[in-house]
Amino acid sequence: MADRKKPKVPGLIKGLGVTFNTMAQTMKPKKFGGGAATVQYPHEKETPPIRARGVIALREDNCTSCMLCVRSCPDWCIYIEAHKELAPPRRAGGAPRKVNKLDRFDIDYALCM
Amino acid sequence: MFAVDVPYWAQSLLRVLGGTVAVLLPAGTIVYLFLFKMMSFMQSRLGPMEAGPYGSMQLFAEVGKWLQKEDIAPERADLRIFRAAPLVVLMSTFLLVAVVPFGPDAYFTQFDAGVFYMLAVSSISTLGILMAGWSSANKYSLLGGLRAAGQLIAYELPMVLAVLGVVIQAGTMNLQQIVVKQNSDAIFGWDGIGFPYILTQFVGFLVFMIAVQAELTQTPFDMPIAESELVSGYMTEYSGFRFLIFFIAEFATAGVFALIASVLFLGGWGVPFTWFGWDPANLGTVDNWMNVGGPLIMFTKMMVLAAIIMWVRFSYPRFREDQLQRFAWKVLIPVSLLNIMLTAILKVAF
Amino acid sequence: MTDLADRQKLSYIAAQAADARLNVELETEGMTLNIGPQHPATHGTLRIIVRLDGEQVIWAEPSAGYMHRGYEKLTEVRTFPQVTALVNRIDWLGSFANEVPFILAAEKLMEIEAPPRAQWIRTILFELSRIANVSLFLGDLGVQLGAITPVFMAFRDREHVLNLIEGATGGRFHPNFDRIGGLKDDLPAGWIAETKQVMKKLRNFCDEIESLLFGNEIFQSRLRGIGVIPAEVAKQYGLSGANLRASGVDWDLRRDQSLPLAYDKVDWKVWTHPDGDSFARCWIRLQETREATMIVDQLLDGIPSGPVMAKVPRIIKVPEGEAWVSTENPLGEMGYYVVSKGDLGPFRVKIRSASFNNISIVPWVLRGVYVPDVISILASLYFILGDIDR
Repeated sequence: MADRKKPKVPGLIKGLGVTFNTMAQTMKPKKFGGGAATVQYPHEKETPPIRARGVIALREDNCTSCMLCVRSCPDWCIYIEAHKELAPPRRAGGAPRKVNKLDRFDIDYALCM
Repeated sequence: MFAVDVPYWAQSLLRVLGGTVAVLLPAGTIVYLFLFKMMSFMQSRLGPMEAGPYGSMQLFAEVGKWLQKEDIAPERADLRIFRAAPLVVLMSTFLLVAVVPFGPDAYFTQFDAGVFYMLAVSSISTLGILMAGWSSANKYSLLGGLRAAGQLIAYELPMVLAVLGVVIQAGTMNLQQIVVKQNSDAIFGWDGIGFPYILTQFVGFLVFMIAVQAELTQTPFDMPIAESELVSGYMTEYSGFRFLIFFIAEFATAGVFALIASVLFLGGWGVPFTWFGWDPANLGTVDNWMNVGGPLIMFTKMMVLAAIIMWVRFSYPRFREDQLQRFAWKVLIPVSLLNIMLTAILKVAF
Repeated sequence: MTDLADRQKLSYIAAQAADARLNVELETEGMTLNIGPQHPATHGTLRIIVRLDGEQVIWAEPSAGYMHRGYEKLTEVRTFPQVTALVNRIDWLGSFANEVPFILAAEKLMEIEAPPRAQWIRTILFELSRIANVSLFLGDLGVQLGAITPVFMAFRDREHVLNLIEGATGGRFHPNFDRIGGLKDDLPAGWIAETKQVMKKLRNFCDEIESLLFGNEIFQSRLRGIGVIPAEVAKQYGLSGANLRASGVDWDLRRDQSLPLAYDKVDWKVWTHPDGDSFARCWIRLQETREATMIVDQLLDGIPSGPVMAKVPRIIKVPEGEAWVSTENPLGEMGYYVVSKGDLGPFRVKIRSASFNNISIVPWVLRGVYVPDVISILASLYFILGDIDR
């Protein structure tokens, strides 16, 4: 069985070697490829990838109050209040259009997953 | 001590201060260098960095944190024994350091049964751990305390037997004389490096270090604490100041045992006497600056040995209780007995 | 194998004798100990009640439910995409793996198949979540036994996998990436090259853990011969995953089922072990992690190009019917039985989670063992509370 072969160097010594190598690697200065695996947070910050999802926020200019997000939310934590308004016609001589105007957009972060 | 004539009360005060420093300084240095920094580097992280430059003040911050906590005890705990247990454990450390020589004139006490005293006094901490385990009114602490009792008593024997080899070679139980002998004897007529006993007592040294690891309840022998099973073993119900005493006692005892190991096996405070032409029969010929250099040399040797103890602690999983006992009784004791026999035979032969 | 089973039988007999002794002869009480629900050793809020004679366990019983979140009830009122977001959180360490059987069941009801590129990417993310899950297990194994260093190496190298998953899906722990008919998005640029680098690092990690932990004599003496589960008993109790394969049963759903995932397009090996002891279970997981990195490498080389989403209507109504799909998740076999009545969301979802069945063997396997072995056996069985309690 592959797990029963006796190693040439006893496992206890190899284990000590692994921790020693990790320590040496952490103590090497950064320009030689060493350093810790951690980021010293308040002083250095990492940039997350482009797609990273953190907290959801709204771009008000783009919102048409279509309520799709309210219906899709798994926890129903988005609250939207909107009213209809009449906007001027796009071309001269046309009829005024009804548009939605956003009153209130709220996410209840206590519920947000 | 020095050429200055110091009155007796001042000498006692100096001894008390020196004893406190000799216990707390190794504890603090070991905690910072090895527990905070070496362990962190072995785990690819930097350890505490915020408190002071490179986290050097972290220990003071932690001490302050523990001191300001509320003194709580479980409702059904046996209060007097609960409160006394940490002090008993720390007391054995102070008693132990009283007999370690730091220099030709820098010692607290010196008597001819130094080794015997040291071995006897080091088992007082077992009592403290048992007291903590029983009085905590907690099933986990009880388990930890009982495990500790079995383990610590079992590993006393290999420690005694390992030290016996050194005593046979030195011919004396006086720790100061053991140091002098190591630095002034010759290996087959060549006295370039003195005769540190680690060269011939290598087996004894290994057994002693393993027994010390078990006496300190460090991994791989930390069944009494066994953090993933017993939450903290006998220390579970302690918080604040009392936990601080256990914590300091653990690392201080590690430091003191490392000091003792360096006295017994590595040549203690001395450099080989032939380098400076000192006379082993008369300690007065050793220069006075050795009273400052000696502690520094001891400190360095202690750091090396403590580094090994901590390195093993961070790398290995723990033994199960019965495997631990089996290891002590069936492996370490026969090996150390064999070591004594061989030492005695070779001592007579050469 | 025989001498291990004999030792187990002897310890069971000793436990029965101890029980008899306790209750009749000496009239001493055994100690009843609660391991959990708050405990550093249980992976979450699991409570195990043991009755001890000294340090030997006479009787043990797990008491789960401290983390019950009512998943099956929650799914009754949600639409399929909303349920996908919820279901991530059952096995929170390898979370993409929870979504896959659910979406496959929905696609089975709709009788559509995701395009090949989506299937390959699903398989890659599935294996990545397996690697993330099991590498944490390998580190955690050290902590349960007292070695505090391997867990930091595990977290350090798992971080790379989580960054990969975040780069592709937007979430480290809860990707929420699978959709009925395919995936939400395609892979970002440069992801494939980065993943190949990370797989190399993970193979190094497996080697490091092997020499630091598995080669360690103390570790081996703690785990060999402990908690032996014969193959018959394992099958009766419904164990799955590495627990079953460690008892010698050659059973792997990735190979034995023909689901629309890309496992049959790559060359890989199923690891089994003849002893059923704790060491076998841990060793198999280590080998499976390495195997998973090699599967990912082969998959990355051959991803077909194409769309990642099939032609599905904007608002999906899954037709009436019932479907059962189970896959080989990191923890074992996870399955969903989805009942749909033609609505936007499922009518009823039954979740068969691996850890619930894996811990059903706890009363059987913990008889007659010592307290430290209780912890190491639980560690080797490997459960996640979210998976047990749902």
